[in-house]
Amino acid sequence: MESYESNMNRGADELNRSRKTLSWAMAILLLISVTAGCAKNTTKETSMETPQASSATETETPQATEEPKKDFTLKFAISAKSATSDENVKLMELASERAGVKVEPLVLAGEGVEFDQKLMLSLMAGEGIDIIYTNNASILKYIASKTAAPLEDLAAESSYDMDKVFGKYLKKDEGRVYGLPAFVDIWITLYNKKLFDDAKIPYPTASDWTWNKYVETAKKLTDASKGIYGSYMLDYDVYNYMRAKQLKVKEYKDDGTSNFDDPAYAESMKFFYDLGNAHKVQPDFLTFKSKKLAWDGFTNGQYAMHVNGGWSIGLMSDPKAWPRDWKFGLLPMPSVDGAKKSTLSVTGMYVIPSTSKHKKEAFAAITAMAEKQYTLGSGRIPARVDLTDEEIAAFITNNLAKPYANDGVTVEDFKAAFFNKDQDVVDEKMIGPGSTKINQAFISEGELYGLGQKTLEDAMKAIKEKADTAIKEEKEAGQ
Amino acid sequence: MKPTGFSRLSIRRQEEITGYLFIIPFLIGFFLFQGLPFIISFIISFTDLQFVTNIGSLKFIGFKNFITFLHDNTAVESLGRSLLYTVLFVPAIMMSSLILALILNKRIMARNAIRTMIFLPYVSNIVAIAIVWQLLLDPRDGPVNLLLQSMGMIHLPMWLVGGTHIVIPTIVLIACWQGMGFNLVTYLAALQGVPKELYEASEIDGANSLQKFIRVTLPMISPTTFFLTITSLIASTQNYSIVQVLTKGGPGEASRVFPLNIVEEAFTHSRLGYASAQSLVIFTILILATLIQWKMQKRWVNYD
Repeated sequence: MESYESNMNRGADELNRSRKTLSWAMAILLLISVTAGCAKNTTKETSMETPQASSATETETPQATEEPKKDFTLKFAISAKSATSDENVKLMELASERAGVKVEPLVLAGEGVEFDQKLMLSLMAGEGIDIIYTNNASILKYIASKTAAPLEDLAAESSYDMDKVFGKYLKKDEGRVYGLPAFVDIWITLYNKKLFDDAKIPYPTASDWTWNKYVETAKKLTDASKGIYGSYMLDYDVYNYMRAKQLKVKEYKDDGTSNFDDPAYAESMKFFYDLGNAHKVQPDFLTFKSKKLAWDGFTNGQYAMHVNGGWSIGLMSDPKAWPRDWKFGLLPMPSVDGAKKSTLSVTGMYVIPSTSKHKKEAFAAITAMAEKQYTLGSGRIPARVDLTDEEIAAFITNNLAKPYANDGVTVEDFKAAFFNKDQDVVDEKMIGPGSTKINQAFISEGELYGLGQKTLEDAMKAIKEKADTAIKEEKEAGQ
Repeated sequence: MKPTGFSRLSIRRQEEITGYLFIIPFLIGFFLFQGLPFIISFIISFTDLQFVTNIGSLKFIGFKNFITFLHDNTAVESLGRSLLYTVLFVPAIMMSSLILALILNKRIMARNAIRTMIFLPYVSNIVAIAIVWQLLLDPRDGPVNLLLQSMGMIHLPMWLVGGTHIVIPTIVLIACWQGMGFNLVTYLAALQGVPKELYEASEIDGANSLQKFIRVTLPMISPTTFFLTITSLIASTQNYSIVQVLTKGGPGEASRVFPLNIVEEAFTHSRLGYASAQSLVIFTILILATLIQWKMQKRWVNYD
């Protein structure tokens, strides 16, 4: 018979064993849960993808079809807002058809600068992105970071003559091409015909459309007591220096420093903020900032005229997203009085990230996107040199102007706004050393001037100093 | 039966190993997500790294990033703003939460409801908080300015939009309102832990309310005050989210605090080496401030 003591000892041993087993089990469970959390889930690459995109991940299931089916899809990095636009949906369909592989959106968070930051991080982290959209200024950072793939070899492989199709619109860096231009976005004026009719003011004409006339007309149209303003512009960097750009005033002096002490830049900034603060033809800048007035505010019917990039005409052709019960008119961007007619432009382009695993297919896709985007009826002007005059004329009549026929916007209006050979087309973006910081300096100092926190002289002086520092920093970093 | 393997070890040793097994998951996570990035950031801060993809052509440039920082007005000014933020935030949140905790420690009406209301912002979404405060502080027709106007004020504050001098204090005010819940609850717990006998004894000695607070309450809750000071100090340097959602660093650069500057340098201007150097600067300042407080605590923190 076992003693009471030995029974107790055995019991204690068993208890100890159970505790140890339990401890081990819990520790292992914790370890597994941590490592499981870190493990890559191959079926769900990112929570930010759309449901459609998340189903687009590579599958290992072989397809029993007659032709060997490609078991992957191409990922087009895009913001949530853009992913669902008619234009982009159609664009991806076009690209899928040409590439023989489905092109699907890879939705990244944010818009504007936030989206750009997220995209750059994703590219540097090697995320499987096959196509990105950028412009002729922003592409420089993708080239510098080696996240953009050169296209010559891909073009040669598929016997595609990029020069023949895109010619002068191809952006080359040290002789290499990194993106295919899809469209030239030319600045225009949109106006609300109803507000002109209500105020009994005749519609302006393209032939003598200048900034003085713009301000004069806007004053007549403004009735702040009813919340009606003659003008609506946003707080983009370019508004601060648009008139200096139109006058082709250089951004950089010959010695490499910035040229923002040229009076044209101060005049340009003063002109823009005076619209709201002095002339009162649009909400003053404090109201614009405090009320967070929207980028698409023109569509709400309270503003008579809106100067912006040509993309904004797309707002007039999507009644679901931007419903309206008024007709709009189209004019060129106002020119600076006494100077040659001029407008601004930016070239939109498609780039294949160097980390793409399907460059050949991605190249086929971006050739379709670059060649055909202008045909999708969103007011895009082709960045192609291989189109004949007849083809351009047919495009304006049958494609560009057609969706806006009900608004009474004519082919002639489109020709005057987008294809006027007497009009200088100047690059909208600051392109050169320190350009990102220069644009930021214009935004922050312009804001202070617009809010009455700085004098024009102090704001321009600060821009000049910041720009010179940014140029110096970038040059030093490049050495 | 002869013990084998793990059982052969002494109980103390077995317990040590079991303990380590429990903390290994945390240590792995800490090393992967905090330790390793810190080490990498430390190394990067001595390089000219711009893009991760260009890591092959990385050059070590010694202390150049730190020297550049000293000559970079934007960065130094943003550090100054962060220090101002800390100087305003830490005393404000500490004092306001202590005062509220003292009030709520009494038997007042709807005490629990008030506690809940004060704690609510702490668990609320920062974006929602930003929207509400932006509406309240709208310089044109926000309720706060309308109230001030009705009281006869002529030069109304521009708060978050145009107030270059007032924007940082305004953000601090909102941050205090948002973060006060945590400090309040911690202080309440500490206050409830003060033995009643001490108050009774001080009353017998003829102490008035202020004397009881200074001689009994403050010393007894000093470990909590020390803990909350350290955590509030750290929280004050982690103000990226609230500043980003409220002002994005504006108006102009009036609220561009150091974390915003670091993020901008790293991800907008792609100067990873320089941004890492700036991170190291704020880390060093924070460590020094914590060490000083740690040394100073012996003089005023009472653990008895």
